[in-house]
Amino acid sequence: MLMQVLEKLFNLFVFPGFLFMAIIGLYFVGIHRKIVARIQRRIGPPIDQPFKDFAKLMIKEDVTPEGAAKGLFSVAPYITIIGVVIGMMFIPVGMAQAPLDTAGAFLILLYLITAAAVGVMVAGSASSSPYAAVGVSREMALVIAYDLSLIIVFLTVAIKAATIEAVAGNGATDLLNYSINSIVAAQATRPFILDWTMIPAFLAFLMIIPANLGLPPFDVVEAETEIVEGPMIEFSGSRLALLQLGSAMKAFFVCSVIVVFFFPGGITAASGVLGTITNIIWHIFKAWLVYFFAGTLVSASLGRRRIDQAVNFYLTVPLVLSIISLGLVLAKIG
Amino acid sequence: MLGVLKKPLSKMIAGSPWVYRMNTGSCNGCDVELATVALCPRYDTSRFGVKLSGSPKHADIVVITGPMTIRCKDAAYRIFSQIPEPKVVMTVGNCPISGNVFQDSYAIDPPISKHFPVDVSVAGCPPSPWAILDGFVKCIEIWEKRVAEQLD
Amino acid sequence: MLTTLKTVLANIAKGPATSQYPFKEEKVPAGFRGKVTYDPTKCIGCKTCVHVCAGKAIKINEKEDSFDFTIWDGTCTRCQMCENFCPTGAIKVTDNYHNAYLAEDAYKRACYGNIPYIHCSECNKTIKPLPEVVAQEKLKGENSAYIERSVICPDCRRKMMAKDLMKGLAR
Repeated sequence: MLMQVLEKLFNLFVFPGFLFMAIIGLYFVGIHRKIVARIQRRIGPPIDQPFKDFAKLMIKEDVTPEGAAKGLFSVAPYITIIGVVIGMMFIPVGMAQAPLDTAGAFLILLYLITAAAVGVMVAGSASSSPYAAVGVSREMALVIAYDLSLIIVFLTVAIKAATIEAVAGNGATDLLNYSINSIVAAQATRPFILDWTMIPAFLAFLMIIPANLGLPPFDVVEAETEIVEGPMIEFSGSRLALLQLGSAMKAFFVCSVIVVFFFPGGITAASGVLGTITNIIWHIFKAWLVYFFAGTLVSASLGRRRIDQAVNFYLTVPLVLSIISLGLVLAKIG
Repeated sequence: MLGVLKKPLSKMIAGSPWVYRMNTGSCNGCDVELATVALCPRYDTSRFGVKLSGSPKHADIVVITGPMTIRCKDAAYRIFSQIPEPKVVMTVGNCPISGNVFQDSYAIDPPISKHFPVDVSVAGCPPSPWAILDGFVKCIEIWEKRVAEQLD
Repeated sequence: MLTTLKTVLANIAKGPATSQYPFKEEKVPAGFRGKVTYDPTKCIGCKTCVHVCAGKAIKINEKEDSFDFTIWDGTCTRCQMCENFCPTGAIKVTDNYHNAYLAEDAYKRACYGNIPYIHCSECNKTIKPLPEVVAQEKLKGENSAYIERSVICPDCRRKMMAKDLMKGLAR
């Protein structure tokens, strides 16, 4: 009993919980800034710059505005971090089984991705500043616009996994329960990314990444020069450090979700320590590939879109793509 | 603080100074040169870890341009008090030093060192981008010293 | 979309365009106006530079037996009017762009010179000295008379020339 509790605590705080996600997420952000700088023909900050930013922000003085809601102002930076860490518990990173896995777990993941965005909204509302209020209203409009496509993509993946399991009919009815395990097991023969009916859903999910992670062309929420950094304007010191850490961890979390939904699987079948570590590194590399193509390359070459152009885009292109995939999957084609 | 960890920790913290720019009534010549230095690929300051931040509450190095005009004195004092410690103050241009060609005007109140404690000043009207880079490098050295003091 | 990819790959191949300052010295363009330098041996104290300075950075302070010349670097706009109007070329604009100062060096950023007066050989009043460059280059040709009389104050020189005139008339 004690061993199980200790193991779950280890999963929560070290791997694949808080420490692992923090380090990998901050390195993702560092590599992203370096590549964007090289594309713009300048040298750019060193790769471990986000660690230095985090350390510096922890020693700065805390300046709290007078009209801010005291309790909510202190608690708001933790909402994103807690949501993302719990969400990571459901994802198998290089191991055969995730630490927590239940029936219908993909709905929990959907909720936690949106909860991470709500964390930013709560932080902005708790500071008494008109710039933060503008940032919060823009974030709300953006989340409503892309959540629709996100829900349809999740449904598509779960229904496709259940269809494949029902057809295979290998008698194991416990894999028909729409858990993450069933989604991973359904791709044992062929990952979803190689399936032509699932490619529109994959593209729709890739298009949602810039808005989710605050990258150009849809980073209108944190538009630096327009609304003085939006919801994060009144935070300083350790709270700002936690907000930026949460944003970096969310990047790794969302990329891991895409990897698990569309091309999971380890690279070796060995089950010793070396095999596990190789599978973990392979998972990190796949997540970085997703972040590179949907985040870095797109953000280095495109400018910022206005909020109405962004909402317009999200209510047309990814929605149509995901509905095409859902239709093909429901009609049991392919 | 743990004595042996202090030196590498202070070196790590000193690698990330964020800059906030305050314009107290300047003619914008020095601001244009600052935009060239901080943003253009030719004089890349992000290799020192410098990032242009949008809010005064995120700033470590405060860059002040312009002589202190009477109209913006209130606002300048209010913004300066919101910048958290430890911080380094740098002025760019001749106007914050002495008012330059606007010396005997009724609308200004130079020098800025009368209102705020200035650490580095870059002379010139406007100073060339290399002089501003020099100023940034000197500011980062002073920032390292202040961080080491704060960790005590 | 294809041009974007081409530009991205070309930029990564070309490498950074960042100049290596402050690790290597930067070459300035010709005609660049930097800090102002001053040569006290050429100054005649005519105060034209004080009159034309745009930022009122030049100050000439006349004391009992010398005069002070100061250019405050924090007020100098580098407009080059002083070099343009100086009759003897005592002020020169260099291309030195190192202008960043720490707060404790605030009063070191000035260009200072002190020119002592010389005394008249007849009546011992103080007069400004005649610089070498004026004697050799500006008063070309017949300058022996000027050099002889450069240690005599204007009043005594007037008296001497009047005496010479009377001597010439009386012949």
